[in-house]
Amino acid sequence: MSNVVGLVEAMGLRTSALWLLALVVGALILMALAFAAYAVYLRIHSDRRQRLWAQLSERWEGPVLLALSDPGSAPRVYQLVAPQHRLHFVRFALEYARRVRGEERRVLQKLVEPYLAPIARRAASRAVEVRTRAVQTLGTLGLPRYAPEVLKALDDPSPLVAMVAARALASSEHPEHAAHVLGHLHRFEGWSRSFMASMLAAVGPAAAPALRASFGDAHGAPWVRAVAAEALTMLRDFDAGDLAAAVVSTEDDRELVASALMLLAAVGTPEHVAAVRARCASPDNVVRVHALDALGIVGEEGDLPRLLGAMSDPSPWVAIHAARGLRAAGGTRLLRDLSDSDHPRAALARQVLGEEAGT
Amino acid sequence: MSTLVWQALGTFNWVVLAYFIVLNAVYLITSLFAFGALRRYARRLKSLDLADLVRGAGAPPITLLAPAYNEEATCVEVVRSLLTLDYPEYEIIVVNDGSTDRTLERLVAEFNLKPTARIATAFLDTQPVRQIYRSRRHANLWIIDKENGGKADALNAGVNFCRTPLFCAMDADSLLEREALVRIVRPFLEDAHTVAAGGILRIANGCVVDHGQVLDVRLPRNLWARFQVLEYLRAFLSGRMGWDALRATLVISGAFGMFRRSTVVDAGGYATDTVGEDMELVVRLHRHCREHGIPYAIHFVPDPVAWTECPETLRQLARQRDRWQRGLFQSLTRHRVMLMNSRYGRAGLLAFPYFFFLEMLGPVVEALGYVAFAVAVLSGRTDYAYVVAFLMVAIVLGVALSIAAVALEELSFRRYPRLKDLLSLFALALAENLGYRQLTAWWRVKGTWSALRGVEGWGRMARKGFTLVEGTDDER
Repeated sequence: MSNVVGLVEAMGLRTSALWLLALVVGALILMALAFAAYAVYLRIHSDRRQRLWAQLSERWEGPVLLALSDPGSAPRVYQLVAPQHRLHFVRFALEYARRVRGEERRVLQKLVEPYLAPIARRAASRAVEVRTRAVQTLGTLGLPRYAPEVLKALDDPSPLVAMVAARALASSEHPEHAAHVLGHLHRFEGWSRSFMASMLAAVGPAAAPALRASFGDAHGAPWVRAVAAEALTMLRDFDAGDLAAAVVSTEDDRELVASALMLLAAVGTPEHVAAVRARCASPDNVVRVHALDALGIVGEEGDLPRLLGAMSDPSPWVAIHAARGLRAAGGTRLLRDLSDSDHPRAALARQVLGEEAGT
Repeated sequence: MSTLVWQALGTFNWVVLAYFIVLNAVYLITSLFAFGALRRYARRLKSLDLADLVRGAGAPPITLLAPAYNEEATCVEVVRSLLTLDYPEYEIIVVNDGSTDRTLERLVAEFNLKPTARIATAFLDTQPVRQIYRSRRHANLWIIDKENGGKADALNAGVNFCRTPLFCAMDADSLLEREALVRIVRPFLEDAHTVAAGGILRIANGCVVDHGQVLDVRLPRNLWARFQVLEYLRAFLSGRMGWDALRATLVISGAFGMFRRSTVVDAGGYATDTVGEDMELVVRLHRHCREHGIPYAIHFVPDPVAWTECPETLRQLARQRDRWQRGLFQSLTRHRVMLMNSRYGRAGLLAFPYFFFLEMLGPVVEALGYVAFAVAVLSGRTDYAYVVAFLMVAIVLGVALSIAAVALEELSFRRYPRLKDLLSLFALALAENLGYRQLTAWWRVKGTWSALRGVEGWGRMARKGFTLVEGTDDER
């Protein structure tokens, strides 16, 4: 009898547990459905916003284009911007500003100037995305007036905000900001080196002195120096040649030496060839690759045998760059002879000759 | 004896219920993470001008690797689409993996290909390369013609001839959107430790394609293809986005993924003895980097899109799911050392157990669970509360999660602009739980069984070709 009671109790407990389970699952379902409903609401909301945006864009497009070609007509644009649509107008101008520079950019900056104060306040928002957007806007449309806000963003705890600030400053047509960006490069160590270099090169030749200082700073981080070297390469800064040769001769860091060799390949002269030659026998493949590239450009006729010999390097990468170096150094005939032979690198010679012919 | 059987059945029913609860709870958690991640991503996109970010000289050159085996129906259209991609510097290497149809002939004729010398830069083992061609018309288009060795072998051949720091592995029957490379390369720019990134796959059936670009996004007419649209949305937007937010991406689709060439070569390239070479590579990259102390990151990016043609018959679909399950089984059992192993970080502690217990073994529990549930209900040996709980957990929660996936799509990318399509997706979310889901569970059980028996091979999917815009010369 007690067994039966126990069973009934157990059954009751089991049923309660199942109902509890059903309730929990029901709550989960409600949560998921609420999630879905919220998203559907967002769709309706964004549909409305898109319609409004299309209307506003249509209203502003003509007058803004007119203002770009005739800045005197700018006051007419203000009459078309209702107080509740000011931020929309800033967004509209931002999309245009990304595509223009120089005088046209300045016209856009003038058009949005009265509306940027609330954006500047957003640069101090707690939400990373809001800060990012604000810094992006101020950096594109608010410089130099809002330079303090953008410069401050270089120290923002969010790397994204800092990157947006750095990019805005680097492309701001105000070269004096390059030094600030260089001073904060360590914050972007995770980013691609060539990406950072191209960002700095976008400042233009005016950034070269700061870049050279950074590249030549023996106490600086090798990564930062390598970025500076690559930016100088992109700028083809001939004044950096001696510095690059010195770095190639004295430094050990692989990436730094490779970047310096790239710089020499772009701006090196026969005076730098000794430093390059010494690296052609480096035990490091990456360094050898860049040394042979540079040798093909700054080397002399006497370097052709060295380049030809490097085509037999066990690393295919080194061999390819040696072959290209040979071609760049005027060794096309040697390559042709090799391509007609049964040399193990004959196919490589044909490949590089084919590259020259564009086939 | 009979009582023991019923007790065992009752206990098993509880196991099945627990399985569904855990499975759906994981789906819900990843969906919630995905929700937050997608919103952040959308805001981030507003802040960063991606095109500007990439078009600067800092964009690394990329090689697209497209292995092709008997792809004569789609190969020309796909290569055309690849040639129009919006990216500063890229090469295309189509690897003709010993096709027995006219794939090579069509490519040679269409793109004016001529034999050319090109030396290997890596030496992964592959079947012999017969000839390398380069297009006279498009200097960045190369074809490697080789003996048949399977998809992984073809990819390895492509990697051997790749000379850019990054390569993008894709299927020769997929169409990449014009900005796909610009978008998928972003994690490599933002984090120099990124070794792999996957994009999203979408179903091209039913869409209108012109010159390799999807012009008009529509739901397929075929019901099975429609179910797959929903499945892909759930898998990518709820699943992979959620796992990425948890920083535990374990799968990158073989149809569209970007990899750091040197890391893949160091890890040994694609495994040629599995049909799940895409997942196996990603799992091995986790292992390789962790075991060698290499800092790394593997990401899923939700907006670079590859459009792919999906199976439209039950037979082809069954084969595909069988193969996917075998690939999953092979990848996970091969790297079982990662299971619950803290040495492998979140991949070992979170993602691997999920895929091992819920994706690999789960279908067996699920399929048997449906049978056990039916037996229990028909025999009257279960109570009402259990039936309600089971149906809610197994069906209704599944519907809710599918709706949530559709909602995520609406929230983020809204690729199906017609209201009719949106309503269809909601209807499919309900309908797929009433037969389709059970079918896929059954196919996956069969796949697990095939894997246990050591069945190999891909099986073939007959391609219809994309639906081209009316009036083009290429309409088939």
